[in-house]
Amino acid sequence: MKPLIIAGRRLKSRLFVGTGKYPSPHVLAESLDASGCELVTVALRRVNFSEPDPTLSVIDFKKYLVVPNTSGAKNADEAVRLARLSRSASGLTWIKLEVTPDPVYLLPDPVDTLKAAEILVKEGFIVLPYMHADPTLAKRLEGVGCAAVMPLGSPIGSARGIKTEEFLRIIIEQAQVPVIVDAGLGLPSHAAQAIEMGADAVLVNTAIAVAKDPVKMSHAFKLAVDSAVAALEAGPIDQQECASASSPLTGFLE
Amino acid sequence: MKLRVNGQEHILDKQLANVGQVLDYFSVPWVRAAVELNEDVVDPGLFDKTPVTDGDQIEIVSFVGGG
Repeated sequence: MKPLIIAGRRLKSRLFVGTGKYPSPHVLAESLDASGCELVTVALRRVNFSEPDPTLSVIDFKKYLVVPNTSGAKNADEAVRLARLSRSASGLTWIKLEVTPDPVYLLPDPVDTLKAAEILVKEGFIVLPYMHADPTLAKRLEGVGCAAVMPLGSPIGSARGIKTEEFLRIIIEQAQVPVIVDAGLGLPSHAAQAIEMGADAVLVNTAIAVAKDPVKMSHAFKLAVDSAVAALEAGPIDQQECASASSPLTGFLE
Repeated sequence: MKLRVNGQEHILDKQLANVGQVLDYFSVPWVRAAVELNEDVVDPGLFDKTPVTDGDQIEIVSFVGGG
């Protein structure tokens, strides 16, 4: 596989991990370690003065590339506001752009995502937009300067796997920027499927964080992604219409 | 002193001079905090040089776990 490079940064691990919903900071830290990931996502929220959130105290901002998201944004203006605050807090220009006005399925608003992406790219952000698996939108987001595209497999946290396969294939075929399959991956096999299809990386959060044993599940996702990468490097065979015997067709008993 | 911080009115028992003092008042570490003063993002390098006055609206945000 060609190396994964986003905005000039080489990433060895093709498994990106979200940091939400873990049972404890300790489990989060162990899970990240077990995943072998280099890129993690975080969210930005008002500080709770009476009960500060301890979760991220365990994250080493020097070890991981910490990419804030704009979750909670319902339109372009809110996303841009969150991105500017995130840049101020992290000192980094990376942003996972999410505009999700629909509270039930958390599907991304394509119009406002594109609008916000255009503004943020002009302001110097490295923009990774969460989007529906729409090949035309992927081209438009790439056209305004997004550093990667993040099409969904199925709704966020749904664990339904890759339900957008036909359209993901087109995005992967056409994209000039890395394609990161985000959202809906519930099992390691879903992650392996995405990589085997040619996706450059996957982002997983809920499937790891909410598993009975997040550390073990995190490792399982690592194995799946590594396995898919190895398979691609090994050169998969083509699919055939008919059977092709594995055993010799000579020397049968009479 | 009266400030609206994170959507809530706060009557403070002392006068604060700048954004840095507001963070200290609410025990918020400066590292990886971001502040909006009346809807403008404050440069973290200028927290202790950006004055606050009565009635200001301040948002103090930081990172939490997210996907």
